[in-house]
Amino acid sequence: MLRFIAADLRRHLAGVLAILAIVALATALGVAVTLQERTLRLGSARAADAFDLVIGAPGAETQLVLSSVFLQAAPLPLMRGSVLAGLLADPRVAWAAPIGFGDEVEGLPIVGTSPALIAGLGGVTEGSVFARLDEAVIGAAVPFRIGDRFRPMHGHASEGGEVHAGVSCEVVGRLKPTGTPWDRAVLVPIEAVWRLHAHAATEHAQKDGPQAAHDPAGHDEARPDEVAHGAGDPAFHVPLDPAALADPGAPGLPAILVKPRSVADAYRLRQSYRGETTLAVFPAEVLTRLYGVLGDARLVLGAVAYGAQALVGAAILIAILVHVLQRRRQIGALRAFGAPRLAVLAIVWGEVFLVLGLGLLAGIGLGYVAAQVLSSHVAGATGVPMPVGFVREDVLPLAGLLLAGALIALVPAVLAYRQSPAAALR
Amino acid sequence: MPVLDLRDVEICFPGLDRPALAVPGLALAEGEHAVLTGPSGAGKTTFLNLLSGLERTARGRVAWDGVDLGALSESGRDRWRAAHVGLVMQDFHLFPGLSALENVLLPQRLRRFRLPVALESEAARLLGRVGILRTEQDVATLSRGQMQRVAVARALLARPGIIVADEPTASLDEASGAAVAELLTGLAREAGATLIVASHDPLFTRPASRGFARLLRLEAGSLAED
Amino acid sequence: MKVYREDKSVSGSARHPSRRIVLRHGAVGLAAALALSFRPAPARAATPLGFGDLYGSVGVLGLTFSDKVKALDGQEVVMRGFMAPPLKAEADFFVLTEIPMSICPFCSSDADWPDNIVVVYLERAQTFEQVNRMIEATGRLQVGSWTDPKTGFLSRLRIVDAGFARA
Repeated sequence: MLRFIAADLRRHLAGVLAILAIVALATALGVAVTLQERTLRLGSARAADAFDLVIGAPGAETQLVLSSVFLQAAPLPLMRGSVLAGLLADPRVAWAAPIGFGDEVEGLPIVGTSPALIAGLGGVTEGSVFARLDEAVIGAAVPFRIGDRFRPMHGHASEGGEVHAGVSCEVVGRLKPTGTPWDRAVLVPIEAVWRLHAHAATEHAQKDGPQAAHDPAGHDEARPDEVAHGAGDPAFHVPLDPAALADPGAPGLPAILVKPRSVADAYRLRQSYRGETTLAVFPAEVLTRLYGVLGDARLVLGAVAYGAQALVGAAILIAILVHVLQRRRQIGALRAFGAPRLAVLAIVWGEVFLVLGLGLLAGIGLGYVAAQVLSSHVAGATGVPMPVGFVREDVLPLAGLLLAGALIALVPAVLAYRQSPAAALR
Repeated sequence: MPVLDLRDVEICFPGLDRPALAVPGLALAEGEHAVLTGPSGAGKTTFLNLLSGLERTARGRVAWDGVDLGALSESGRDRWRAAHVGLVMQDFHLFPGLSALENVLLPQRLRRFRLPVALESEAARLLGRVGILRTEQDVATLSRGQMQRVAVARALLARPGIIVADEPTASLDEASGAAVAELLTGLAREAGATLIVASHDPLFTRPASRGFARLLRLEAGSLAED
Repeated sequence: MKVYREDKSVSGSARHPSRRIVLRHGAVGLAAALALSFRPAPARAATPLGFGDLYGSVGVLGLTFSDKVKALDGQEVVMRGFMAPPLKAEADFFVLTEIPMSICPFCSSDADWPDNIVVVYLERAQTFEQVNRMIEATGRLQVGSWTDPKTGFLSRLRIVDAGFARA
């Protein structure tokens, strides 16, 4: 029976391959949508896992989380420096670390922060944490070596940024891999960012007003006519001063990452820092809101995929019925020579189901590959690792598709079963 | 004691005022050969379908060896036909992509889970008997004469007591037709099977080559015997 | 109230038979899932539990569990409430509160454990979409203090091996 089916499939190879490809593509569409949506969710969730609470100036919560947790640089309003001092003294806080952005080196974001954050991200695997203002710790995926020196570029190179003249930083440590965009970041002491920008800002303070003097977030865009002297090496070759962070008069900050001592403390801190001067948010709650949108998109795309699958199913049913009608004489002859009706049913069903089933399996593979390709692009663009994978809940829908294929295959099989052998031969 | 007992058979098709086939009676003895002839459209194929149980009649009785085909179910007639009738048709109905041996074995293979080894060697023997030596050759690559010889071997595999052939030589050249006609009658005689051939090929109808076979003439649905 | 008693070890696997079978048998699971998809899910005998039912009198030692909660320890219960904003985007637990969560579940009192929350532990970590919507969580009630070794979260009342759906 299998040899008979195989011989028939070989004879109609082109048509079989076409049906196989169509089934595979329709299946792949649905599989890719499901996998990709899940991948985006899990990838972003895991990338945010190390950060429980983010505090910034009132504004857009989503922007705050995107900038601080996912390092998607965007201008953020600043909050007063005293906020950090308050958090550092708060008994509900396990650690709190400032973040300041604005500079980059070779396309990698430079993030000003404190040693607490490095410890919170798992510490260094190589070298040591920065101890001086001109030292830096690199993320696990940064292509520098310990001992390398670099000059921070102010603003983005693509926007006509410029090198902070005279300042050069030395790489002294490498972060443990975190599976987050922080793997591609260069971490320097926040005080270095403050000093760098305070110095550069004095150059055009008169033009831009006092606001820019306290702006480490990169608002002060470089101007072509500007000549930034930067600080000379000696000014930055000084040890960190822990007291500078706890100083209520410290410069303003775009964001602070906070690790609460307990779950209850996390909710309490979120409550007490949601006010007129600060905004506290769980990255998880922002993501959860996005997942709601993503879930709606998945429903729509899923419906499209199901529609495509239904259309493909109908089209294929017609193609198969035509094929079976063309084979009436052959099927009738099988019966006339003594093949039982059930064997005829099994042959037609088996042949159709084999093609549909193979198409389905190929589609699952194809959908997986498509999601992998798409995810690696997203991961490359954002630095957020995107884990593509099936879960056990995927089995039922796929089994349902297989069942639908089995039922579709039954239609031509029953048609062949009911056909009279004499009528076929006439 | 006749092996075929056919009585009062009448087949009508809707829209025709005359019955397509009306045969008051026909009896064939075991091992007897009969040639059925008549102009096309006379109802030869319908008659053969009745004899092989592919069609059943609303009126009358077709019984082989006391088994009334009209009383059997569709599956029952399939089973009976598989066990007792060997069919040879004008268009061979071989299955391309399968070898000569696989074609001979196919109907039996579809009837059971495991093919007895004896059946396989019998198939090879029959193929040798009809002159097909390369049994593994794909039937699509055979000549038409060779194809019909494979079909003859297939018809004989289950050692049927009845062999029914519908225009077995009509699509063959003269030499191949002669070989097939000879094989059919010869093999039927060897097996002691009752042979019914529908044909207007002189190979079968000519008294010289017909031998002992009875000549039945079907014209406008009614049967006459020479 | 009628309480359907069932053996704890059975209750866990009896609830999602299809999912568990699929997990265990892999390839065979496909066939099993096909077969099971035709069968109605076995009914869960879960006792409804309200936030008002949780605690008895407030004594000198703080909150004391109500008799109903003590009797339901280890039983299947179903509770309605709101999902607090999750602390982790992918987590195997969330905080179920009586009131919608623009308000902090831990801020209504100084106590470490407010009387209008329950922690829901799921069978497996997942992401959420249902924040601030009324949901219905079903699972086994677990009474008594327990510290989650992964998060250090100390809870006094939990629903474990839970599933939830929008109510």
